[in-house]
Amino acid sequence: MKQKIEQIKEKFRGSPEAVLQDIKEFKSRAIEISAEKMIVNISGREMPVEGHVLYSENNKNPNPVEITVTDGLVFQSKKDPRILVIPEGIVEISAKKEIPEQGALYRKKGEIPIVPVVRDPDLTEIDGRTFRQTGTLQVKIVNATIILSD
Amino acid sequence: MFPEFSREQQKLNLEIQQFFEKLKEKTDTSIFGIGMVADNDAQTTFIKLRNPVIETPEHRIVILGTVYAVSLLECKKAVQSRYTTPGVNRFPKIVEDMLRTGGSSELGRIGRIDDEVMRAIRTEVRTLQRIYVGGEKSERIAFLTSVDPILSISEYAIDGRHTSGVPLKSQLIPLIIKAERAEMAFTSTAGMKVSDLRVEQRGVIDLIGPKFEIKGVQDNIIITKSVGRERIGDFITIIAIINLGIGAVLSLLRRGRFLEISLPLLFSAAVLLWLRYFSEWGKEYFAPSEIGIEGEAPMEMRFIGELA
Repeated sequence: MKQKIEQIKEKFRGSPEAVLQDIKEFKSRAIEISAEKMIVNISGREMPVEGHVLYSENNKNPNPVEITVTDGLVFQSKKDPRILVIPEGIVEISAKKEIPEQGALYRKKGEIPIVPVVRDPDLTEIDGRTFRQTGTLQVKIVNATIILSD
Repeated sequence: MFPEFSREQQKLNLEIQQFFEKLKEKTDTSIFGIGMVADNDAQTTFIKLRNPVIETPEHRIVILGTVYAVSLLECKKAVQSRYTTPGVNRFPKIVEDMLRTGGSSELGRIGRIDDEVMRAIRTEVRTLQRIYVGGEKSERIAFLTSVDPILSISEYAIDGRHTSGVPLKSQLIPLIIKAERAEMAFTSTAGMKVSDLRVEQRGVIDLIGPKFEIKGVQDNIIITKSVGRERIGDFITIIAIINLGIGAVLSLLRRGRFLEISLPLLFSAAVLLWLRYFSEWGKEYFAPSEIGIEGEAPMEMRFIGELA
């Protein structure tokens, strides 16, 4: 997965042109954020973690990682739509996993599931520090590039 | 009795005092609109919070992301007012029944409603049932991820322990909320003090790093009910039809005094049918049961925060 991200980076170096994007929600198997400044709040942890590079992926969970830009403008690379640029903002990274029994129960009743999900990206690395099965990550970023990988 | 937050309250009081002292020092009004303090009777129907920390006498709950704080009564009203049925609006009554009994048999009786709407109302009421605890409905506050539709919070840290997949149930007041940012529309009869010593009575504000002490919920919701005498109406209709049938048969026999006997029966049937279906009184009196909701259930609070 990390090799793929490196390949995308190489491709992006040749064409840094980006357009303003209205879509603020993305899904991907893995995500890498490189930022000038980064403060990561992890659900359940009191102290935020500071860093410059964040890598998060779902290697056990079949669902993709969900990325939501809750605050800030999103620019998308013209050449490669998997590259996003955010000058300043907040990004939430989550990996929703349905609780099987509850999900099946709601589907049987023909209802929209209410909260039969847990949120935990399988693996997160912040400047080399590894966190496993964490809750939702809220990342405050300045001058950041986000790379989404399939 | 519910315990008080003496230490937290003292801290908040101290902060309010310090804030005013800071204001007195800065008499120059060039620092216009730096902060806002409500130490009396501010009210709001909901607060939009970012990354709140909720201090209850028993727990410390930390939530990441955007959260809405709403009184449970407002929450229930929102669901009851969101959907309508054609003709007489029976949705508030259905929501009431579903909350009380847990069943949704009433929904099946409304055939003309869109299937999607039925699914949505069922899901919303189920969500409300999850955050609705016992009979202490008026003194509780719900924290939601979305107000329209209502979605409960399923990821939070309670006393430092991360919880995911289990909905956060409503919380008893009083409680103290600290947040990174908050937006709300407020009203206050006594007025709220802004840093340039202006006093505002209502408005919409965006605060950075506010602290709230939610003290209570005012139940100003007025519910007007019509009793629902459908069954009596049905009984009157049956009597009228029987009278009409017997009267018609007797009048057709054309023997003896049968015609004379049939006349009062036919007349009574006509009067009953007119009263039931054509008079204004009958239409209103025998209408299906319904609930009409008016008013609001705002949260009472004190807060301190810097204007964004």
